[in-house]
Amino acid sequence: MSLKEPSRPSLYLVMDERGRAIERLYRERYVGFRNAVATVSGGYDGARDAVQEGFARAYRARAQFRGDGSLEGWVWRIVLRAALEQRRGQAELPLDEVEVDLVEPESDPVLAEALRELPPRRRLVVFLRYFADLPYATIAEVCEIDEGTVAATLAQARAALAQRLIEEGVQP
Amino acid sequence: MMELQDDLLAPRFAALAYPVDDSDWREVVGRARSEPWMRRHQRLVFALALIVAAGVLVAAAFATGIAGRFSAWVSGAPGIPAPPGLQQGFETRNRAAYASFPAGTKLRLLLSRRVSGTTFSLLGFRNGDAYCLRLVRADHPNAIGRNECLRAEELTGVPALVTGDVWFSVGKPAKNINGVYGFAADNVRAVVVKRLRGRDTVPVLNNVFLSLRGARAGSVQNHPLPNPVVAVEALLRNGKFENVPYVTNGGGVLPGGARPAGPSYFAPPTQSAIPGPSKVTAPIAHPTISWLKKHEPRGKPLPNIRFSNPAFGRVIQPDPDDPVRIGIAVGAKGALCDYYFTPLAPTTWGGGCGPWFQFGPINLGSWFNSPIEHFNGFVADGITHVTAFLASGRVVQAALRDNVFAVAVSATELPGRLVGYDARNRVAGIVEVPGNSVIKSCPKPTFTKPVSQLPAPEPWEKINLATLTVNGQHILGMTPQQVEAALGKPTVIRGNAQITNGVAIPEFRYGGALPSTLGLSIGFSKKGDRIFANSLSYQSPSLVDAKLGHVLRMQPAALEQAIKRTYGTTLRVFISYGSNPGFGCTAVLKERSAPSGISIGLDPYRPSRPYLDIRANAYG
Repeated sequence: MSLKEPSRPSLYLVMDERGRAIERLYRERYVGFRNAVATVSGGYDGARDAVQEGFARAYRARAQFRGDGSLEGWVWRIVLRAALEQRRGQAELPLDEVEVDLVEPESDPVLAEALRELPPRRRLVVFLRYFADLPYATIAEVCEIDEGTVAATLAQARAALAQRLIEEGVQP
Repeated sequence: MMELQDDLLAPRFAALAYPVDDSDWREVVGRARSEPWMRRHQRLVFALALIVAAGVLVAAAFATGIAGRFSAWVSGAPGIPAPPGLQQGFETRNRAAYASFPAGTKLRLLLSRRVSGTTFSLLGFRNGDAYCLRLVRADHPNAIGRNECLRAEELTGVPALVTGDVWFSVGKPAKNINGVYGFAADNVRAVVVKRLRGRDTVPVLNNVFLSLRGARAGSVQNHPLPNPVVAVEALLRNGKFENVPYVTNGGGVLPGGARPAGPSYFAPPTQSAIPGPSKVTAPIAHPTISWLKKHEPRGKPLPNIRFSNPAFGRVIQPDPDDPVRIGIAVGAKGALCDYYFTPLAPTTWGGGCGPWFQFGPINLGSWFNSPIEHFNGFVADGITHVTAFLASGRVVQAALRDNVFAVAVSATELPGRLVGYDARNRVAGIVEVPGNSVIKSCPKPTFTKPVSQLPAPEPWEKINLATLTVNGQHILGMTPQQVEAALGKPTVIRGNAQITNGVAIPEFRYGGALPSTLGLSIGFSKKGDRIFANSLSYQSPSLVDAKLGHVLRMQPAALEQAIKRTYGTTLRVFISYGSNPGFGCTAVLKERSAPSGISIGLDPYRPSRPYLDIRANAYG
């Protein structure tokens, strides 16, 4: 009588584990996803649709996640792609070329002005950092840029805002 | 990489973040499971479809071409059962309504939206073979709301259909909330609602969508600039966009919101575009409704109608699957009267009396412009069926009972022709129903007299667009006496151009007596006891601006550019000349620091005299 070899985890179990991870990410980070994506969609309704659709696609394709980056970064790219599909003719645009803006710039005109001094394609970095609270590494992974570029962009945004505040007579 | 703790940007973004958590994991899983499963198991789906198609309901869906396109509805249970409050509110309203739905109708909650602090619920239900939507404020569940029913045929051939455009006033200070709602097919992921300024992308749930936007209500003196829906598009699940027909302001369609290349306006359509018979082949000599004249008690009794005292009347429901009822009556002086009872309204929604069959054996009653148009009226004895021929090419049978007909069609398919046939299928009567305007280019004004031959400007013809003054004086806000002292005696004073609360409000005309020849018309308004000037409408070719010269001898588009260049720091363009056909051949520029502004343009039917208006409200 020979001992049976321990069987490898089935694809089903792997998928189930990933499914739970995606669900956990959704439940814990939904608001951050939606608020950051709103800068791509141009509004919160569109952002909600993109997040729902993006997570649905990620959940559906979870077996295809190869694990060569973080699961969160992978889901972010899918969600942002779903948001870009809402913008006619931009579905195939590289994520680091996407022009985004605050949904309600009139709510903080000083910040809006400061952000406008950044190259449009770098604003997504700022929104991912401050609306979604993503670490530099994940932002770099999502936008497919260096971590150094992420840090430089955020420093530039901070400097621009500080300058604006000084011009407005506010101590930064 | 070391990450900075940022106490400068982080708090500002935190203040901007939208905190509401409207997540729904079940919806994510539902989206994930729907389409790919269908793709992976196409054969199985096909086999199942064949089995299920045996069912009467689904067979009907296939017959109308909507099977697999509106699956949430074909399955019979879209959304979730309506919460008790919404269900009971509907039942209360339904019991009190004259045009009611069948008792026991069960509503389902399809989606909810919260706008400006108010939650709106979109509910759905089947009524016979009609699909019905009810939009109501969640905190006013027994209000009339908006109720619209349509048959599956209306949903064929379109990715989505706007079934209602709505307006609500909520809160204190009041906010106006307006938008659109309707049906969308399974392959539609979201609906993009384009407005004059901005756009909203709203998700599709349970085959319906709802887009609402709130704005401050303003006041008569300072009302907000309009921001109508100009077009609707469907974002398909494959990432492509498809136009959703929508009749925008001005009564025309802008496919996909694409603006015309040049300045444009909406003009009436040519009638030749309407299909169907155009000649009556079997006229009815003396059209009448004999049962009404004999006072036969058909249908149901006519309820008490305010401001009207018909000698005899009844209420007919032509279509058992549509709660719309039509009152038909013989008026006090023998006239033929019609009354429209809209769904869930406690009494009539409108109507009137007139001569019997004045324009032939079809008497078209009143209707109210909406995305789904409800045409109704009476036909004379001898007409056995009524058919609607639509510009879209579709042909729809109207419901007809006891000489009363009713038919509901999408406004996007108009204009149309209602044709009444006799028992031998001969054309006994035709009525044309107006429809969507067509886009035409704004004409260019042609000037016969060169500027050098124009008379020198009078004091009232000297304006300064930087300050919106006339001859150096702020006319807006002046009393009639002050205006006369500033600009001289008008050519004509129309003492009671309008009556407001019993008070006559004048109009001053300078440089001519008739609307077609005058140079300046000054309109007045009333606030409290005070009457003051609130608009100056110029057509005078001699009008001169301090910097731009003879402004009404310039092409309007060129004038707009010149104003932008010269006065851009004080005036900003709200509507560029002819950019939105719904507003006509006009441009609106608003003062940056005040509600006042100007509009320039021309009447396309009288292009020789362009105009320039200075208004207390830029768009008022």
